[in-house]
Amino acid sequence: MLMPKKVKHRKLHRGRMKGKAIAGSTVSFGTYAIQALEPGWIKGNQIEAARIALSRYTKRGGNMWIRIFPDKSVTKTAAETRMGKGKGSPEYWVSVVKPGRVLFELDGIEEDIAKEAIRLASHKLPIKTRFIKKQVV
Amino acid sequence: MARQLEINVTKRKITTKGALNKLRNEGNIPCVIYGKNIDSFAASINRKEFMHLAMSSLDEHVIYDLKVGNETPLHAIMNTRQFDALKQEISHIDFQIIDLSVPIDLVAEIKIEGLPAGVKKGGVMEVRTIKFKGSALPLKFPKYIPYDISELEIGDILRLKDITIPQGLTLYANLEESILTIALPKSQRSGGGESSDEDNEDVKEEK
Repeated sequence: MLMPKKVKHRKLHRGRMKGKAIAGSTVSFGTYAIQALEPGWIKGNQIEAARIALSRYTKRGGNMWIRIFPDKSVTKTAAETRMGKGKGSPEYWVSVVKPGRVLFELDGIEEDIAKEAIRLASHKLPIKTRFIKKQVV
Repeated sequence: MARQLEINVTKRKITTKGALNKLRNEGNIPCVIYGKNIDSFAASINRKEFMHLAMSSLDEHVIYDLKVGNETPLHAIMNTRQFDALKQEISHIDFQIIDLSVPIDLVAEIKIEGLPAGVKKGGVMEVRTIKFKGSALPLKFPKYIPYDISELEIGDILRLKDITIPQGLTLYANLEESILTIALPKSQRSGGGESSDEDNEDVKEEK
């Protein structure tokens, strides 16, 4: 599962997800892509599930690019713990996604196959997404 | 070669955010026109007309003849454009006025045609660089330089010097620069033969 090898700070603030994605909002490597329409946190296991769905439907044909990486840790306090005693330990890793962000890109396959693969992969993600194509003009 | 297309441009004076949004909602694209020997000015073009023209000439560089009222058309290229990722439409365009008799810098792309013989035998095509910046007269600048790669075998490297560059075009690149290579499959390279992580992960999940 995707997670950083080493981080400067293990525990982070939750932060806010205002506005639209600035970086990573265009189809840069492939021809077809999944684009986020809502802000949200995408867990490492959700990215992995979507990747497997894409890779299985395309029968490993063509190329795939994962444009997001879960670099933010989310902590959780253990069950039945009394108040205080500090922040919990990191439980999982998420990628912060804003509307417009390109999540995955595909290339080297037909449009129908890409559309269906992206539909299947979008069910693995916790936010609304859509299929987009590379801008030609 | 480049193609000349005529498009109507309307000058605009108000440049506030609200006015620009109103323009966009009315089906126009706000733009700015600038160049070496003219005073820059703000304008707008019809989105439908522009998209129709742009989509009709995807294989060539386009030189727009901007018609402002009854004045003589201005020759311009689309320098940059702003793209709204959520609406999936162009939100602003920069037109740069050019002189058709002076060479300009643009990008030419090598258009790969055919399937290499090496790939048919199991090789893997690895594309390195296919876009090169160059200089030529605006109307003679090709967007694509076609090249047939069907004769390339495993181990062959296609270099820039192998390609016939159209007359009048100067590319700013080293002629020894490789464009693509036909490599052996990973499994046949030294130290290969192991299945990839991707395969392992899929197998694990299926158990």
